[in-house]
Amino acid sequence: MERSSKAAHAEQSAAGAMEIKVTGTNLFPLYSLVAKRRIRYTPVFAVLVLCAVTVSVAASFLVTTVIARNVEMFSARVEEAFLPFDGMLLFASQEGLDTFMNKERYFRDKANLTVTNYVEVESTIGPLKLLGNGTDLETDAIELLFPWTPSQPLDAQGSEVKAWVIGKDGPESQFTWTDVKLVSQDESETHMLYGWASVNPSLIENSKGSKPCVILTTTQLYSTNPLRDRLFRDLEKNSYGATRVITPLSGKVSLERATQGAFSFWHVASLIVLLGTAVAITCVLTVSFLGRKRPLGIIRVLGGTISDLARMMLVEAAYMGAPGIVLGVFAGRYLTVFLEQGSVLPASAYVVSIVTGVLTLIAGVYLPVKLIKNANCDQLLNNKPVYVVSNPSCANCGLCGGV
Amino acid sequence: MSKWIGPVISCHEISKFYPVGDGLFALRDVDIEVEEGWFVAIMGPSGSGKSTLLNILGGIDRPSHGEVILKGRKFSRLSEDDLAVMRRTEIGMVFQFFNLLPELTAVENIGFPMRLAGYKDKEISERVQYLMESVGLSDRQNHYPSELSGGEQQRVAICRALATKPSVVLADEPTGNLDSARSKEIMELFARFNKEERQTFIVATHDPSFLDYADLVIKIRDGEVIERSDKHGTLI
Repeated sequence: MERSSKAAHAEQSAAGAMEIKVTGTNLFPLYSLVAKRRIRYTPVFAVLVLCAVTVSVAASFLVTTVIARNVEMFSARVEEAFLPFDGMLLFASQEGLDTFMNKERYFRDKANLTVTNYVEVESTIGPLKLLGNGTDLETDAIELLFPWTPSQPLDAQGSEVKAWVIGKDGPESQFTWTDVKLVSQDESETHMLYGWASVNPSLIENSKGSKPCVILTTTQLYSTNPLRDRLFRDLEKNSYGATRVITPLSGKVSLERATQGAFSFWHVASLIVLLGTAVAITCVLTVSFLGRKRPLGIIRVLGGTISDLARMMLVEAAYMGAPGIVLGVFAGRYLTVFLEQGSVLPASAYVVSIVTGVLTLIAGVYLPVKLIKNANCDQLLNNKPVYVVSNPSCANCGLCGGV
Repeated sequence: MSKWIGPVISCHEISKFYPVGDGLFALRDVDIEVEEGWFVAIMGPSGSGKSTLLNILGGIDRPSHGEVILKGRKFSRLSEDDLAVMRRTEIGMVFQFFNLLPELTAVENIGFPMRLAGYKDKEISERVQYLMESVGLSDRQNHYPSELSGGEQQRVAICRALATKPSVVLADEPTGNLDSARSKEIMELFARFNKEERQTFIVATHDPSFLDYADLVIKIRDGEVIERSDKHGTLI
């Protein structure tokens, strides 16, 4: 008997190393049970994670709403930027104009330049921007280049328009025009932003508040869209000494600038919030991990694999964070309305904030899961340091820290 | 599994070396063969390497040299995860400080390794009921470890170690944290399961009362086996 047992032993020993077959059982109910009990056992961690997720979701909800509203507002203004000329540059002084005219050659084949004067006035029919480009107009004639919403109906004034240049101490110089011509491009639309008019240049040349300006009319060559756009973008960008550049692209360019500004500012703000909350979640979960190395070690002893532990941690984080996402959306809605950032909330806010919440959780759970994955049974069970970098020699040395 | 003939667990020339200071051998050339159904007591003073040996036998720690062979198959060089999967059904562990999962009830603690091993709910509840009754804890099923006394916790821990009917149950100072009356209860439990279920036990202890139950006593000092004897003190 003794001999046969030994022989059998030797035979079976020769089979060599053990082969492990993992049974394909669904362990989710177990993870779920442990996670729920864990949360009940130490609710403070769950509350902290919940708060962090709520803050990140609410913040991203607010930010998305603000950005969406900014974009909407500027888009509305772009539609109104519709001008009676191709482009205009406004100069603070004669010197500025002279500097610009030195570069005249640059515009030779691109646009015709008309040097004239510009003045802003208050008139009986509302604010007007007078251009001195009506060389063929009589001094008592005014050409309203644009339909706008007059503050007074034209008929009520007869056919007379009066205007004043407004200085520091009230009206300074007065203009009267009896011959009113209306040059309308599109009468059905009202344009609030620009009320332009042409008058005889001599009328406003020496008036107070009058500034030199250059009106651009694109040449035949540059009348096609891509080239025109390029010219206008160049003007908007470089301005060539002008204090203000007005082109049909002005609205669009200012929208781009404003949204770029808005995006960068709000993005930075929301990134800081997201980083903050992700760090907070990381800290909470790491502390929670460190406080229960031994129970995790026991799970390893009982046969839990590294991925079992990692999944338990993920399920736990999901249980802690999921209510935070819902709460965060409600908080974000309340905050947006409370801060008067708009009552109609864009759908993108919901999507972005939920995605943000999930990403924050994933970012927060990364480090604790990495720690778990690098810990062996002995480290967990005997409460030894665990290292972020998996390097076996590290665990033996232990000089560089570890948690 | 029952068809296996020969030592259920054995180790050959096991050494464990720690690179601390001038180097320290926690174990040196240890050979052990344990047949199925044996009750083995590993005796020795603190720091003699008992726990290290048990950890190596249980696949929690790895030997620096040598192999552990469970039912004829070597496992000391398996990956951490493969060892964990192996422990689910082959190894049960009982610790000095009970080491129950604090957030789970007694029943859930006992069912835990069975769930990991993929048993069905019905099998789990039957086995858990049987074990809890046999250790006399039927009325403490839904208590949390913090609501149980030390002796009760250790009985739950023994049930947990036995739940998956492992090939070997390793117990590291199971009575080290209990008074003598509770220790006696625990020892009798071990002896009973050893007789009734032919469960193999390897118990590390420095409590000489275990000698009365042991089929094999292994004395260890400074990481080396100094004596093997049966319970009557006969040297083997």
